[in-house]
Amino acid sequence: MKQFTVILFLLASISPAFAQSSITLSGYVTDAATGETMIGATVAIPAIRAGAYTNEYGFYSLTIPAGNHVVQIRFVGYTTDTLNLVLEASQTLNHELIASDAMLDEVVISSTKTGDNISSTEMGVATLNMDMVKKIPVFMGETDIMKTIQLLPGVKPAGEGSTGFYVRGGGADQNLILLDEAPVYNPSHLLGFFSVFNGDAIKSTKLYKGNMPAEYGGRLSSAMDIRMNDGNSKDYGVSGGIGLIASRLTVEGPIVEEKGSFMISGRRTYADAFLALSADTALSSSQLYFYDLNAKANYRIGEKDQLFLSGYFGRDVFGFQDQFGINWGNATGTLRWNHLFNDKLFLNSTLIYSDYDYEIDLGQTGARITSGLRDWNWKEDLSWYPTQNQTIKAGVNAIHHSFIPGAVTLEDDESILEERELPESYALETAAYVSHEISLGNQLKVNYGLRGSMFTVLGPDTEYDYDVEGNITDSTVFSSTDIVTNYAGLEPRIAATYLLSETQSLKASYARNRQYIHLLANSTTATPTDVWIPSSETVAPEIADQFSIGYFQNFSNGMYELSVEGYYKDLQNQIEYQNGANLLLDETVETQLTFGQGSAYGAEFMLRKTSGKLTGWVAYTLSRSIRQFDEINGGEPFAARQDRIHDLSIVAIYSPTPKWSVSGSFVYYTGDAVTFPSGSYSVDGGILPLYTERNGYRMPDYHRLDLSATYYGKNPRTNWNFSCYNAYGQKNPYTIDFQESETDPGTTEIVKTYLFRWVPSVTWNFEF
Amino acid sequence: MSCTEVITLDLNDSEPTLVIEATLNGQDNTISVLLTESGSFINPGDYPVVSDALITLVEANGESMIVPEVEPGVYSLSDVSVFAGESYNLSVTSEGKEYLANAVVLNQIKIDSVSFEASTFRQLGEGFYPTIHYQTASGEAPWLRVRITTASYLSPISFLPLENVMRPTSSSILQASYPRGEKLGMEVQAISEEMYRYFEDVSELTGENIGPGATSAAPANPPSQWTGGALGYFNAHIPSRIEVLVP
Repeated sequence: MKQFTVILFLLASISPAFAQSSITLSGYVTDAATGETMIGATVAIPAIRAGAYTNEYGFYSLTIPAGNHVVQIRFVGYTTDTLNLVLEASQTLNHELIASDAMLDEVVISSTKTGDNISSTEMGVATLNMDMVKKIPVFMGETDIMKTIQLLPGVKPAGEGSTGFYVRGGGADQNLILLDEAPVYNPSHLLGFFSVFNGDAIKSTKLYKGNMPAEYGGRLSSAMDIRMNDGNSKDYGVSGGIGLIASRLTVEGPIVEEKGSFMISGRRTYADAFLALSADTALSSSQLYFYDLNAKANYRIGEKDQLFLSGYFGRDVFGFQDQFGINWGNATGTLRWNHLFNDKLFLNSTLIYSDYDYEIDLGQTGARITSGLRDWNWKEDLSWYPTQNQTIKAGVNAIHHSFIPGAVTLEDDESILEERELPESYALETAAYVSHEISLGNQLKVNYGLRGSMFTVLGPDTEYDYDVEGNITDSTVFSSTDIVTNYAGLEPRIAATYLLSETQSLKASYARNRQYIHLLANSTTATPTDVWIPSSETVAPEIADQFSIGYFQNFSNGMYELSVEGYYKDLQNQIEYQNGANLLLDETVETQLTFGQGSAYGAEFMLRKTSGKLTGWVAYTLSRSIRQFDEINGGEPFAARQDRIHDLSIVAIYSPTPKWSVSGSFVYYTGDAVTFPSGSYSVDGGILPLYTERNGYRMPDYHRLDLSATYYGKNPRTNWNFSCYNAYGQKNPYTIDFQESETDPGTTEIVKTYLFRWVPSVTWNFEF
Repeated sequence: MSCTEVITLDLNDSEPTLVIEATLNGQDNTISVLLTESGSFINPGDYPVVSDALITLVEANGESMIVPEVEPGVYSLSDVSVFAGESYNLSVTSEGKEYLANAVVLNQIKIDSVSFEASTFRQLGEGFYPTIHYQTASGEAPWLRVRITTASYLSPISFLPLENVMRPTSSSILQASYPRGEKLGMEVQAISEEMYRYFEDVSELTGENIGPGATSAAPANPPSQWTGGALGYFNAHIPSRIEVLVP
């Protein structure tokens, strides 16, 4: 910690003594119609090359020489405002932006015509604009940010029917998903066909692909920062949509006009209503639905303080007659307090509660299995804007985790299962960080930082010692006041941008990330029964070092954006299952794990058209993701399951007239690496499959085209959306299994299970 | 919600791998070894036997004896001295390659009796499932493998009693129930945990529907005791036998 004090002291001494001739302009940028704060809006004075972005709360601070200035305030999808100001003293400038005509202007992912994508130090990052997200066709006409980010380079979907995703060759559990700063552990509804994020409640989404700034940590491969809308602080509004499978409703309005607002957004599917109509009694007595609720309220207390309370609650229910049922859900709550010490110092204090649990009901055996994870999280984040060219951030973060790995309760005395309860375990994950962004001259900008993190496993707990064969040799019992294990480490981060010209830049970055909690999946397809486990004596924290370099260029006055990024990621302490592992409710699950290393590298290409009647992008990623474990595959390197060598996405959005917008997205990617048998043999009178290499085979390549059309009609407050998922009905495999052929007994046939072919849907959306 | 379709995949049928099934039986004092080769996955069932291999059994005292081929692929020798607690090495040389395995013989289980209980668990159907009452020399819960022969089955069927019921003085075999009046021949083998796990993996992989499956997160071959890349096992034990009638 001594290092931190030294760094802070050095940074404080950098602040130059321009006190007399410089002033600070600060304030909030908001939407003129709703009062929503705008994240990442630009307040710039091009003449002196000064500029600042609004933070997650819409606040900016810009320190400049006193005098007459032309100030430009802009944000994607809004009309840029230019103000001629005489600035002799520090002052507050709050500004409202008016939404521009969304049909014809830039409706893009990020950046504006003047090239913020070129000049920012951010690389390997994607910001989603919600207007654009709503135009991209997704499953069943539902807007889905999780599906949309999978259309970006370097982000690969986990597979058909899954909202899990892989970023730059990392695992599905290596992504930190934050909803208003609360971690969401399972972002999937309905076995992955929908995500838990209701597009109507979301303001912005930003995905960092591995080289995240020092304020994020705890996962190796990405950080996805999702912010909810605050609610319209000027007027009451009701909006929503009614669709074939799901409907949603949002109610928002002011709490004391312009001082506070609230928003409640809910969604429910009724797929089971259709199942009830089925002639098949198995289907008609089954249940299949989910619901979710997003709620937020905020209130401004005076000029310097603002309070926010937000929450998410969602549940999935799936039941097959009375034989089997599973329900799971997330609940999160966040309480935040923004405080402005002065026009250069902004503090955000947060208290978060997050709960994820699932319950499996095995009707026939009379047993119920429950499991989950619960967090209490406290954060302090400080932002300091000392001079024109610098931003300093510092903060602390502490999370108390409760892991509830599993319990079996029995309703039926005659069940063959036993009542068991795996003991809960507890851990404290803490971190402190400091980062500094500074412009050195007109061409070089650097953002460097250091994050220190620590993971402390707390009692009560019993730790086992194992011998080489995995038998328990000894055990140690810890009480609730003992510390079982402790891990700590430093995570340096650095990113630099070099401006080759106004429209071209070169960027490079390095980041180290440590991950202390890990997801174990019980099957080769992701299910909600996957279990989160903490690091322990046996399970060391995962570590990733990522290097990346990129070239960025804008053409035709910003209409086209080109980015080329290459990355190399080194992974340590990766976890795999030992051959033949079976993880259901095993207290000594750690004996079934084996540890090794991995590497992932690739090149990502993206060409975007950001304005005009036709917008969209083409993204292509060429990459490898390899693992090496001494106990697997004879110690030889093998392809990770998510080693998708080629990944192509093409998105096009065409708005020929203000009444119509049509869009299409096409994806193509190499199939997952899998372990299939290469032969068979006989033992003890039975026939077994013969496996040779681990993950030596590939699933068939995946490809799909989705189409969508939106009709705006006479009433601007309503629109009709027509979409078709998998427009040419490609039978992409969900699983591949083997069974004895019915037509040719004695031979084995390969059976592919596929889910959806053409799925059309109609949704009526409204906004009042 | 989902549909299935039969497809073809190029499954690269691998080079044949040697499979060695060796059993050292301390009750009959015989060593018998079956050598086969692996075959195709799509067209299973054709596993050529391997002849002309040189198989040598080495006892703990260093004495070695050659196990001759008595039928194509079947190698057998009688009058072998088998003692509990002793370690035995078996060597198989075929096509110029040598494969080695080692096994330690555990104490024989003494069967006291076999009782039957009516099956109440719906899944097993009607009938009675057996519980074997036995004693172990050490008083510790053993790892067991039970082979049952009945008039209905041509060859014995192996069962592995569930882990949590293998207590020192009784063990239930829940996986099968038998009708009244059925005559059962039971052979109880006390084996090592390694052998138990091996046969457990084998039973999970055997069957009509094989492939990357619902139970295993990491499909792989059951760990073979043989060096050199051969599949199979070397099971050395002193079995106990009993014949019972289901009352």
